[in-house]
Amino acid sequence: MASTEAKSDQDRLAVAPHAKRMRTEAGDHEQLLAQGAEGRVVVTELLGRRVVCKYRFPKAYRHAELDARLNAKRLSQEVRLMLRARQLGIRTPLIYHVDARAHAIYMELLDAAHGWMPVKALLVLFERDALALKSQQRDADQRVGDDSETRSDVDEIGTQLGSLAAVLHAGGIIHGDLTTSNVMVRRRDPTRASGGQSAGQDFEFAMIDFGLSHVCTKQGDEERAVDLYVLERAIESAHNKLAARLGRALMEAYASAWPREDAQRGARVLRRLEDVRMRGRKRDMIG
Amino acid sequence: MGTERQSALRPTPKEPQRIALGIEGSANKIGVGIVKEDGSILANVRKTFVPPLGSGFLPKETAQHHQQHAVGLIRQALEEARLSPRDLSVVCYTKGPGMGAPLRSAAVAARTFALLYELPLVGVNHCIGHIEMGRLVTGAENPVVLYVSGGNTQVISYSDQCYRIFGETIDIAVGNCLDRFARVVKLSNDPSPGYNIEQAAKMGSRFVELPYVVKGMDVSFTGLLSSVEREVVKMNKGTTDFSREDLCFSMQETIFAMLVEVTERAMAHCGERDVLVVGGVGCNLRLQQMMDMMVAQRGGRAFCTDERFCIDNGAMIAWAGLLEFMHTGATPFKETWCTQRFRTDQVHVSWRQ
Repeated sequence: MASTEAKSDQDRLAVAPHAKRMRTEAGDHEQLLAQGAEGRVVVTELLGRRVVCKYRFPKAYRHAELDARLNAKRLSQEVRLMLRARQLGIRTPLIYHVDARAHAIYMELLDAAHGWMPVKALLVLFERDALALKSQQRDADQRVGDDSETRSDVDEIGTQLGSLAAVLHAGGIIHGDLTTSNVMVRRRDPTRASGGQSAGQDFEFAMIDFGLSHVCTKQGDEERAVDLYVLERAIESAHNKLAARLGRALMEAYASAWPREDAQRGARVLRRLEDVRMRGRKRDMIG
Repeated sequence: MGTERQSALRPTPKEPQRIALGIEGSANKIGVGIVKEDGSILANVRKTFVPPLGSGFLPKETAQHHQQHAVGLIRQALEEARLSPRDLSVVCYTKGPGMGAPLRSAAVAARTFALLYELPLVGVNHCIGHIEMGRLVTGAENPVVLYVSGGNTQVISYSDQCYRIFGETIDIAVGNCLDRFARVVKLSNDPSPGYNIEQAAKMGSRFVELPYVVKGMDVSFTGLLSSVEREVVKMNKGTTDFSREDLCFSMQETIFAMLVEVTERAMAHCGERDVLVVGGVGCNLRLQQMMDMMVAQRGGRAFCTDERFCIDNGAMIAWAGLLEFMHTGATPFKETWCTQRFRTDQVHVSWRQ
């Protein structure tokens, strides 16, 4: 009973706010997943498989030359960086097909049917349920491989987000739009053997929307710090109640998840983040 | 509770509606506005300090300008509203953010005036003044707010009695970037550098590629400014075909596209359909047009105001101060100082649910 309720809630949050049947040239079984600032993301069919198609339509407000330049650049960047992230061991949607002329990428669908939802939606669920932490503990015995002292799911999400960012950054990738809407999450299937995964990791993550991603410069601390700053601010503004807790777990994990030969690098980025924050605070000045 | 106590202090409570006088002086304008509780604007007068060609407004000169005009403007506003100081319920002034010396000039004027006529004082956050004035004038309920001016560039959304900043510039403000560009290409500061760029841009047509820097919901303008300054050097040497008008055109197209994009990102992120544009840069018609096109593609509405309310003015301070006065009460006299740094998200928005 409780689980079906949770499930339907998940579905609603993951898809419903934007879901709208729409008719396009490609056929009438396209479903609008999201209209982002970048373009449209629809669920459609490719060779008999349900897939996501992300396409950038021309922005009427933007100068045509600028628009074409941005769309072409972002498409190739996005594809290239999704592959690169995958090489680092970060789960991203698989790319099936790229249509450069239509600025379209066809990729794997990470949907509610397979347990996926944006981290943002999951955090909203946590926030809405004031007793989330308690109920998580009640559920804990249903999960396998849990620590004896149960950490809260919020902490784990923070930790996982932090190490995800560290792996990405250590691999030289700047996501560019690191928000809780752009990381997908699902509970790990407890019945399936979690080969190679350490105990206590109840969630599986995937990064999406590499539309603003780029390879960072050799130095890169600044870019990494700004990337984290974007994430931090997205959390602060969208998940106010959990922000302190998430942020703490996230920063700790970020510093420790850098590879050993680069260990001081993570700390350096966090120091740089302080500067970026300070700059943020000063920005209200006139002039 | 506190509100009732305050209103009981009014010397002659003839007028059933409370009336606020607001003094704004955070940048190069000093403005005095008088606003009634029902939102009607009884007066809104302003003087702008216009620095000479090729230079910007400096704190000292700007402060002198404000000091020179404060009393005259208060008198003029009261005359226009046909009120005497005794009819007022509260005096509001800009507490920050802004330039120190000009802010202090306006604050001293407000404190003196309030003491003279035994009126309560309310210190107002300048950005909140813009937002509340924009909401009042346009009737926008709960829009995503793009606040663009000489000192500020923020994308704001309301939740839980706080105006949260979703995106902002990570270096200089958009208006600052435009003003500095105007100085380099020797465009006049009269009536404002931004206005003259807008007019020159209408005669430009060729698009110069400039850095387009959007990081998540944040933007950056320093790279773009350096880049366009290099173009100006080339133009002055005659080693490029691009004219000053082309540069103005390309600046606007690039900068505004960035602003519209981050606004759209914030709308997508918080699921809002409407946008309100406030701040001095917000009266640029090209920016308003681009915003209209963006929201049209999303099925929402864009709310913009004209130069009376977009540009710093006294009425916006009076209105935001009156809202705070009615819901929280006056600012204790000891706390009626001003500050250069005062973030939008530091204000407890007691007047909204």
